[in-house]
Parts: sequence; C-alpha cells; structure tokens
Amino acid sequence: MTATRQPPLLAVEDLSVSFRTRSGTVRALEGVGFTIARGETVGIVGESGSGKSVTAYAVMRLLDPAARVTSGRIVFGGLDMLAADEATVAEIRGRELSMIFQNPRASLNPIRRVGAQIADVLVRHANLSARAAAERAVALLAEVGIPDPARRARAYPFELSGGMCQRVGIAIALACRPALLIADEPTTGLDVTTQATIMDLVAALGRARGMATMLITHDLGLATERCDRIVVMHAGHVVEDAPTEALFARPRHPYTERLLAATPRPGRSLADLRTIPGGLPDLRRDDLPPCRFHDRCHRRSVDCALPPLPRRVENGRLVACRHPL
Amino acid sequence: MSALAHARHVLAGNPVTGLAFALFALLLLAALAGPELVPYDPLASSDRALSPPSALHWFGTDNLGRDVFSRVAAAARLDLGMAFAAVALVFGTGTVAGVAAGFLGGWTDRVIGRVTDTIMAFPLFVLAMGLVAAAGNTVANVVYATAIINFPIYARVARTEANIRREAGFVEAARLAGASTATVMLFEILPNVLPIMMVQVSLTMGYAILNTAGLSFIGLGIRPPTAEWGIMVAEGAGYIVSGEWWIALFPGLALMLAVFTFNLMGDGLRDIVDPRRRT
Amino acid sequence: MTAPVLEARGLSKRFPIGRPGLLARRPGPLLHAVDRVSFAIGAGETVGLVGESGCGKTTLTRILARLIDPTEGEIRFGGEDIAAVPAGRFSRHPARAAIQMVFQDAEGSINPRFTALDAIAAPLRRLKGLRGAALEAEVARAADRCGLPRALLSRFPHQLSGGQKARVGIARAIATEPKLLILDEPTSALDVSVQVVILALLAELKASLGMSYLFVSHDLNVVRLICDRVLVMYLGQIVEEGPAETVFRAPLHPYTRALADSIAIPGERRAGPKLRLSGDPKSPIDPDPKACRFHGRCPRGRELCAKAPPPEVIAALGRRALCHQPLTEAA
Repeated sequence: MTATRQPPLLAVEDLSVSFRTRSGTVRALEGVGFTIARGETVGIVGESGSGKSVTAYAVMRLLDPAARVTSGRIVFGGLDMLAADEATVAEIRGRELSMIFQNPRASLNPIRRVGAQIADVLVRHANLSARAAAERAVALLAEVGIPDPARRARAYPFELSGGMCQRVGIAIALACRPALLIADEPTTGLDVTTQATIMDLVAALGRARGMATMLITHDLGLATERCDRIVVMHAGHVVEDAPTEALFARPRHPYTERLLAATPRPGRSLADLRTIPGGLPDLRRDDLPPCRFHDRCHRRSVDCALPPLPRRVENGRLVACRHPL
Repeated sequence: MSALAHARHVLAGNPVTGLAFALFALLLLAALAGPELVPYDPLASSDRALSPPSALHWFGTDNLGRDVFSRVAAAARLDLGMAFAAVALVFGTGTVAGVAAGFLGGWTDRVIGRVTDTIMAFPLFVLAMGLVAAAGNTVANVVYATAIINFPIYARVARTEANIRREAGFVEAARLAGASTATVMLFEILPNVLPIMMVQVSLTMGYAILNTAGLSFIGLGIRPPTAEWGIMVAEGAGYIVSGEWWIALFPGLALMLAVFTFNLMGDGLRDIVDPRRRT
Repeated sequence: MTAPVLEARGLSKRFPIGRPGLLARRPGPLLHAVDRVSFAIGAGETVGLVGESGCGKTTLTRILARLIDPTEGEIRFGGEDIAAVPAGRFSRHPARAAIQMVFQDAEGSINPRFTALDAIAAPLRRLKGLRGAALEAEVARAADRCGLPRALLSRFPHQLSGGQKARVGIARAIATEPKLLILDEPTSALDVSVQVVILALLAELKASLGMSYLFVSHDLNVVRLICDRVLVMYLGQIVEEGPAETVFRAPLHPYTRALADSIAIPGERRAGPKLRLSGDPKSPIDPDPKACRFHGRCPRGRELCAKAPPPEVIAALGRRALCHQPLTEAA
C-alpha cells in the first residue's frame, strides 16, 4: 500500500485457502491480499479465527495437508511461492524467509542441544562445515543476548527459560540473515518484561540487517509499538490495511473501530469499553455474505449483502467496506 | 446426540470396528448358547474317528470320533468365560491400584510399583505356569494366575492416566467444591481413566484367552475330555504330521478369531466411550 | 473502617527439593516460593496481583484458596486463622464455600467427562447439600446470573466456545455466593471482544453478590482497568503495593517501573526512555537472605543492595515498597 520504487519483497494477492474437514469445508481465507516492502514491519492483527496464522503458514508453504489454496498468488522476492516446487521452496525457507513461533519451547527439539539446532540451519543453508557452523552458532547466541554463549550452546531447551528459548528461536531464524521474518505471536507465553526485551531484540536486529518482519498478533498494543503498517483481518478477510498511526488515529472499518473500542487502555474505564455483538460466522457455510462482518455490523445496509466485497484504496489505505467510517 | 446414535455414527464411520462388533456378537452367541445349540454332544465319541470336514461334520472329527465343530463352538463358553473372569478381576484391582498410585504418589506409588515390578520380572507365561502349579491345578487358579500376570499393565496404564491428571485444573476445582481426596479419585479421575482402560480390557481379553488356552495346552488348568481350544490344539498337534490337519486348525482359528476380535474392539470401544468424540 | 475480608500475615511457602542424605543434619535445598507475604483484602475491593512467571503468585493463590498449606503464616478470614486448618481437611470446613476460584484455562478446569450442569452443581451439592429440584434451581440461577443460556448446561466443555466455558467457570465459582473470589488470569485466553463482556460480568457479579476479588493477571492494562489496589510480586516477595493507577503511573520499585514501561498501549506509541530488565530472575532456591533479590537485574543497584535485605518503605497511606532506594515521583 505504501508507495515504493522497488517491487515489494512479499506480495500476497487474492489468496483463498480452504480446509477439508469432517464437518465440511472451512473457507479459512478469502481474497487476502497485502504487501510487505523490504525492511518494513507489518502487523497482521486479528482475533482467534481471523486467519492470520493460516496466512503466515501459507506464505511459508507449510500448510496442513488438508488445506487447499483455491486461488491467489504469493510472490516472495520475485518467486511465485505457490507454483514453485518443493526443493526451491525448501532452499528459501530458513535462508531468505524464516519464522519464529508462539511457544518457544515447543518449537525447539527437546532432545538436541540448542547450539546444534542453530548449527543445523547454517550447515543446511549457509554451507558451513560442522565446526564453522558450531562456532557461528555461539556467535549468534551472543548476538541474541544470551550470556555465557559458549556454555549455553551445549544446553538443552529444558534447561533454559522461556525467554531464552525464544532468543534461541530468533537465533535460528536469523542465522542466515533472512530478508523476511515471520513472527507468529512471538510474545504470547512470555512475561511482559521479557516480551519487551525480545521485541526490542527483533527490532534492533531487523534494523541492522534491513530485514522485513511480518508480525502476527492479537495484541493491539504490541502492534502499535512495533509495526509500520497494520493489516486487520476478520474471519479470513482483510478488512483494513493502513499505516499504524493512521489506522489508530482514524480507523475506517467498523470492525477495527470496535476492536479498538474493546481494548483496555489507560484513561478508559470498564464502562467505556464496548463489545462486538455476535460472533464469528461459521466458515463452513455456503451462504456466507460477501462481507463476513455483515451480521455483526451496526452500519450495515441492504446493499451490504450483495457481492462483491468492496475494496477501497485511498491515501495508501485499504478498507473493505461499503460504508467506511 | 444420544449414546446410541453416537455409537451408530462411530460404527458407520469405521467399518472395521463394525466387523469387530459383529464377530464379538458371534462369539458371545457361541459362549451363551453354544453348548445347547451345537449339532453333536461335544463329549460324545463315535466310530467315525478322524474323518475330514464334510457335510455331516463341518469341521471333521477327532481321534475319538467327536465332532470338532461342536467342540469348538462349545468351548467358547469356557474359554471366554475364564478370560472374562480374569479380566474382570484384574480390571477392578489393577485400575484402582493404578489410580491410587498415580494420584497419591508417595508410599502408595512405591509399594504398588514394587509389586508390579516383581511380577514383570518374570516371563509372564512362565509365572502363570508357576502359580498354577504351586497353587493347584484348578480352573479358579488359572483365572487368578491370568489376573495376576495382567495386573502390571493395568496398574501402569491407570497410574499414568491418573498421574497426568493429578495437577489438572478440574482436580483443583473439585477440591474447591469440597471434594475429599477419595472423592476426587473416584468421581473426577476414574471417569477420565476408564476410556483408556476400556481399550486395555479388550486387549487383555485377547491375552487372557491365549493364556488360558496356553496353560491348558501344556496340561495345566482344564483337563480332557472337556472341550477347550487349548486342549484341542494340543490333542490335534500330533495329528498334523499324519495329515489330519482339521483337528488342530479349527480350534486354532477360533483362538485367532477371538483375539483378533477383541483387539479390534478395543479402539472402537474407546471411540464410543470417550465424550470428546461426541459431536 | 470495616475489617478486611481476608488478611494474610507472614505467609511463606518453602518446597524442599532434592533429597538430603539419610543422615543429613541440615535440610536439603529449599525453594522459597512465597516469602513472608502480608496484605489485606477489603470488603468489595478488587486487589490485583502481578508478577513474572516463577514469582510465586500461583503458589500464593493456591495457599489462599487453601488448596495447599503454607509453611508458616496466618490467613485471617471470617474471624479465624484458616491457614491452621490443613488443606486436606478444609474441604469440610464452613469457610470452603466462602472462598472460590476462577481459573485461567476454563476448559482444563472442567472435568471433560462432565457437563456444564455437573460442573456448576458440584459445589452446590457438596458444600450446600442441595439435591434434586432445589439443586437444579440453584444451578439455573447461577447460570442465569452469568448469562449462560440454560440450553448449554447439557453440553460438554469441548462443545462450548471460549466465552461460554469462561461463564461456566464463573457460574461454578459464584454458585455458593462466596465472599472472596480468586481469579487466576480469567480472561487471558479470550479474545478481546469476549474479554470485555466477561469483565463486565465480573464487575456486575461483584456488586450484586458483594464479593471481593483477588485478580491475578499479566495483562497490566486489564489490571489497571478493574483493580482498586495492586500487589507486585517478585521472587516470592511483595515488592510494591498501592492504588492501581498510582502504582503504574508513578511506581516506587524499579521492578514495577520496568513492568509499567513494558506495557504497550494500543493506539499510542509511547515516547521516552524505557526501563528494560536484562537477564532472568535469580534462583528462588536458598536465596541469599542478606541481599535484595532484585539486585543484579536492577538498573539502580548499589553496594548496599547486595549486603542487606531491603526494608519496607511506607511512602503514603496504602503505598509501600521493598527497596533500599525507591523511586521518587521525580525519578
């Protein structure tokens, strides 16, 4: 959405993903599109069921076997990720494109030392020898702020705290200096003080390397602090896409506005908070309205039930609504 | 969904389980009504010894002219009955012991642990042999011995299930609601342990049948001329070489069928009993 | 001033870890989970309890709920010291119905083999002795109070949504109309839109049933929103206490300051220097009694902090901090 001279690093275009389940086909994503420029930090924000994690896994091409990409393209660094063969994608994953996960301890192999796990990535993607990789792993541990890195490299994940495990995860993800880091709820499960230091680290390393970040989160505060731009998702749709300050100063989509109105902030009392009526629509339905927020929206009109879902682009902002605020 | 509707749903989605249940029904029929329904008296000898399967004798006759089919069908009651008795016994004792060990920990766990370790130190069949030989060669002792050698597996499975739920939120919630330790074990932990134990019951039925038959095969437990699958296999074994394969084969197949059925049923039972599968 | 609903005096909990040799004269290493904690909860008050994982707040809540016994200390509730009643026997004590708890993981706190109705009925059956029609009526009343549709009572936990499970957990906790409700991160697993509704429900229940709350949460925006007073815990000790708004706006203890600085406000980017903590907390095993436990991580540490335990500084009415050099308003 921002005007750039270069083509974006990542372009997701009209992406639709469905999952086949026993109880029907879940239309998890529909028409999702956004771009991430080099060095930009974009937040994908939404509540549970919004499709934000599915989007991240789609970009990494790590979707569940039951998933079907029914339309759209994902172009990363000029490569069509969905059309490329597995070998090409496997080369990119871990090197140009990497990910850190929600539960840091769960994303590490519990029976291998952390230094070895970092070295694995280096051997696979940076073509280092085992010894060189091991040395570089220690250096990376130091870069992510782990004290006494030479000794810690020989530790197992269970010997490390949650914050340290997440740092190891960051070391693994950043080992080969990727162009894009996808962070899937990286701070859930960490203490508030640790969250702050971890995000400082990611931001600092990102700035130093010109790395772009895709930050998936439900935490609006985190998104405010760390993102240049925010993509708001609801029930598998992108409902709004705007620079952070502009989004919060003047939300245009009713869902964004209600989401903000429901989030506790200093200066607001409990009575000031408003809820969003209803719940997520059942994504297995065949008769989903074109706007999936339709049933819960206080601004809907008769023509909101008619396809297609409108997408307005103005001043570098996207809002998917017929009656934006 | 009612329990019955759910059961039907599971069976519909899982034809193999349906088959297992159908076979179980067949075995149950044989056990309950077999001795009354069979064409020939299982103990009656005739002069048509060692005749191969024919229209008259579906499974042929053995060395004493007894109809093999009638004996196989009639033996179901004894084999299944003994196995069931053993399993019922070990299910009751093993589950309770395991839950107590897993939930209470401490000395309870250590004592029960030592008991199971001691039993498991022996090759189980040899232990059963030893117990029956020492205690006396009766049907009751065969049942007890079978129960004892299966005790460790029940106790261990129950212990693990109880242990992982020990710190669960709902245990704390139960205490907040005024439940004593015994109440928690009986009414909170046990209902969660039962589905897994059901699978174990089914699997153990298979082992118990094999055990009973095996002990009879070597002369402990049931004695001839009673019809029992193990004895029949033992008696028929000597005739295989001389070409009368049917005497040992059919009781062997019956054993195989019974074990196969109970193994398959284990999974199906768990699907039905576990509420997480209910939609 | 009315008497507090609950008063904790000098509560400590030490866990022996590892085993000393058979002939050891001294006890083996001890994990100091809770260390001489004292505070009071007034009638109708919501007191917040915040701190990092491992700070002892979970252990403290379990002690207050009488699920485990403290190693020492008193809990004055309803005119007696309920800490003196062993946890195993407390389930039969009359005060059991007066202290209840709402859990973070609503699904895990409901027995997966029981329906919502069974869950809510359990305390009524065991603590109030209700049966049959009377029991059903009370369950329905609790469900109605919590906005839980009666049709959902026959469902199992895995058939309920996050918000519905939360309501079941709350209905069960308030069924016996307790005086004190301990809430352990009740909304952290919920979406923000559901959280609003649940928080509003909790506020309404507190008023209508005249309860006091001990609200444990890591979401400091929520704590600021609904708590009257806040207790900040670190490595088993209460390092600061005060009115919620003041504690975060003008903290006394450096740790509280770090907490406050780590709060991210949706919609506002905060400028200015932020206090960040490095490293991890010290080990709670056999902590040095002669040093401040925050020393080493504290950006304001002085020599004195390593040599003497910090005193409790009373800054104003209801405000205290455990520190050798608390932050002043100007710092």
